[in-house]
Amino acid sequence: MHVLLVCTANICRSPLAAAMLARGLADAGVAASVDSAGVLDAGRQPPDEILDELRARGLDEWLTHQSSSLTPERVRDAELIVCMAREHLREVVAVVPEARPYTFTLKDLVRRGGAGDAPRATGGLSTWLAALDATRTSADLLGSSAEDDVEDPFGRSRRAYRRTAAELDGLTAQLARLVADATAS
Amino acid sequence: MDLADHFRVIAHNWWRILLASLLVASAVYYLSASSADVYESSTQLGVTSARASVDANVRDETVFLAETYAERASTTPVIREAKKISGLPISVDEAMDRLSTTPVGDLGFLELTARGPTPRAARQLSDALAQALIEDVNRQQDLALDQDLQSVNAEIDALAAELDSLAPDSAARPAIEARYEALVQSAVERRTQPRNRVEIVSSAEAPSAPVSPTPIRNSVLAFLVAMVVAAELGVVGHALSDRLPRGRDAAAIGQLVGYPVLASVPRGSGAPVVEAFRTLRTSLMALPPGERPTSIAIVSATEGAGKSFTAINLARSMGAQEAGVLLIDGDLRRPALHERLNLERDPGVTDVLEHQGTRGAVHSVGVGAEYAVGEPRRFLAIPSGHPVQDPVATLSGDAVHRLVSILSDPPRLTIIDTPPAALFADALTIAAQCDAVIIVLDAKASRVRQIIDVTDAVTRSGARILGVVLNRADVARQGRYYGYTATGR
Repeated sequence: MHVLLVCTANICRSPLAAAMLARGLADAGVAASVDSAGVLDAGRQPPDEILDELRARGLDEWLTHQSSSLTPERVRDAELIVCMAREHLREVVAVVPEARPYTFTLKDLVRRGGAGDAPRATGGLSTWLAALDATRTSADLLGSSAEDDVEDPFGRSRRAYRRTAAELDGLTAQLARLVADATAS
Repeated sequence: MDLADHFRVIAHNWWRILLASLLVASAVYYLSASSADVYESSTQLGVTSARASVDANVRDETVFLAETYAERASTTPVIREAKKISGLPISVDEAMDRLSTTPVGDLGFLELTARGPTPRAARQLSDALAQALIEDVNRQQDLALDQDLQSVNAEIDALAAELDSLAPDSAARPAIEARYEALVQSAVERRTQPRNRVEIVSSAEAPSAPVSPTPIRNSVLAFLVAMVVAAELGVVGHALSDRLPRGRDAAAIGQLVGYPVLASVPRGSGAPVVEAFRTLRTSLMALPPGERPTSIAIVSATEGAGKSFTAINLARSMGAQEAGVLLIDGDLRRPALHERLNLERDPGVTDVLEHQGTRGAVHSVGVGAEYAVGEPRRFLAIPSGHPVQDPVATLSGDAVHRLVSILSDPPRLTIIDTPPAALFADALTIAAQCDAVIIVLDAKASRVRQIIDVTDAVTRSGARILGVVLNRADVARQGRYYGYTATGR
């Protein structure tokens, strides 16, 4: 299974979340490749604050991360696309409209996934995601919402980075459990 | 408003609060410094009750006496006397204002305080009051004693007269003499009994510095009070304000007006504006195919919110991405598109709708270098046409459909500029014929009440509001990701 995480510059939220989710899925015994991309240009390194958060969690193999850009191919190759905010969800869907059924914001996916039927009962990852997608309206897509957006710490204080990292800890752990349940046969 | 909002508003207003407080503090400093000097001088008096001089344990009575004398010192007769003794050229009322007397502690001390325009005047008045009070207390006791002794003295006088009238060898004389002696003795004893005493413990001294004015202390206090008052006034003003909340929180503004903020457009031109309209375009393109509008009315409550600006830039941004974008100037009252796009005003919308021909009404316009991605793209535009008497009548019915149908290929997206919705019915007439409406707001000038009135009216007309575009917005993102570029799409 291939999961793609998306944020603005692919140097803060998405690489950190990707590292956390990859470990969460591995711990849950899910065979998955986890990757991340941004909507801005590529080739940048995460700021020191993100590297520190990675080190603090023992996620050292992610320290060499370099930002990469969202492309239609990468969108099509993924089976699940997890966005850090609604704006990234729109970018993905605008590039590849067919990606909508498997593209969610992290918070929205965890919320909807936790509220509905147990993923296992729906019969696999794609059917589970499609069922969740069917409950969405276009209003869930437009504008920005604190309920759906993970705060962007870039350019802010170290405390903002820690806050975002802590939020991602919880969200990625919940998502790993949901995905593990959905892919369990 | 929660506590965090409260402090956010205060932090946002910090320089106004500081300025107002500094102004108040300097005004207070000026007023205070220019008021006349006041000096203060005090005399301490000790009070001893008559019984205390024989029994040291009657402290309560001493305290009571001190309180009584403090009251006495504030009465008009005593103050009139003090004024007279001081020789100061002031009225009794003035003297009363300048004087105060308070018991100190519970040991029977009194403090007399006098204020005056000079150190000497203050000291003189304080001393004079002490003297007047002491004299008054003594006089009162003398008076009481005299009253007490009045009957005794009368009897002594009567006995003396009787003795005078008796013969030197009268048998009654020894008894009367004994009685006389006893009475005189008792009168003497009564006179030498201990009395209540008031004495000066420490006399008044001429003060070296005035007690008031204290301009620095007053202005510091005024500054602190003004800070608190100004901060809270700012919070109240903010709560009552009808303006959009300042700052960059698009989610909060969206919640306030009830529709998502599709794009926050900064003031000016160039990359940040292009980026904002790219965001708006992405929102439209991200909608599921069935929900994607093919016609959008650009509506705002008032003039100057940036409708034409929004309509043109949306047309450019969409036009750069796909063919078949049509921009129509639906503002037949004060059209702006033809000037901004450098076109002739007519033929245009009114000419087509009044069946005066379609020839030359449709123009092809380049999207502009800043929007172009890859090959240069163009969009189509129809200016407003010649002026008409009744724009609402001209625009009603299926006007939009008739305008669109003059193109050989139906446009994929039609964008229509409109006149201010709060002033004219034209905007609602056009909105009702479109798939969707975008409400344009001015972050600095739009009023929440007006926005809600317009969104309500648009919704009642049956049109679907997609969201709002916030013009002249404070946009942080460009600042934080300065130097980064969006991947080409």
